[in-house]
Amino acid sequence: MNMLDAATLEQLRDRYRNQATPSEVLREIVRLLGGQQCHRLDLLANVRAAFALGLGEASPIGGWSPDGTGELKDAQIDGFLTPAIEKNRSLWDRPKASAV
Amino acid sequence: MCPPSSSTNCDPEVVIATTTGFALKNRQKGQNFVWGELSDTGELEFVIENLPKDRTGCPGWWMFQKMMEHFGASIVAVKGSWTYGDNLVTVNRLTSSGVMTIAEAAFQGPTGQYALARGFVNVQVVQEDGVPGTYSTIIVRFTK
Repeated sequence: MNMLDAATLEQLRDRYRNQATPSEVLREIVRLLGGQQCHRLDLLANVRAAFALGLGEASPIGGWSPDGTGELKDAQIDGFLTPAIEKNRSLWDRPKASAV
Repeated sequence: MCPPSSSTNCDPEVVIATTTGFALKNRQKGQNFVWGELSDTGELEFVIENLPKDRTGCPGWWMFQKMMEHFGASIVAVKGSWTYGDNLVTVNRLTSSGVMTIAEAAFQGPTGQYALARGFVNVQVVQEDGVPGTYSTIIVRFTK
């Protein structure tokens, strides 16, 4: 599995905290994983790691494509992922350690 | 792991193999994989993909088989969470005219067929969002 490091996953969470939609975050993960040719299993694994999603919760990603050709369009994937990300917020949105 | 002899462009790599998880990816095709997780109650949840549909890659039936072999008798139920793809299309097609119920139609899609072939002959509809013919989400649970 091609996993992004912890700091990068936190940057992705920051994007979401700063009003990025799940589809925008997905596109950023695709870019970080090397572009459109990245393996979808890696995309799935990194989204789950970033937002503590269950497999079923993340499964709609299989129907989405960053170039818009997937069966699920941006609005639809956002509609599936946003409630799941919010439901699990307590698992991924932890206070950051303050610098000493 | 050897790919099925009838396949082309199938270069499988098992990337997760634990008591609760199994994932296999095709190194030659970016949208070709299976990822399954078994809950502590024996419910198997999984995602399986082989896109585009160009008759290449590791076949869905074969990846499903490898996943089922991995978990073996620990599987009590097979869960289907359908928000796109062949399973949802099948349910929508068969329920739109009132020919079948969701439960009946669930066995006509790929997952239902795979589950049925392995003795999971019962199905429970856990969630349905939408109306017959245009469901957006269907969650079912196949049991023996």
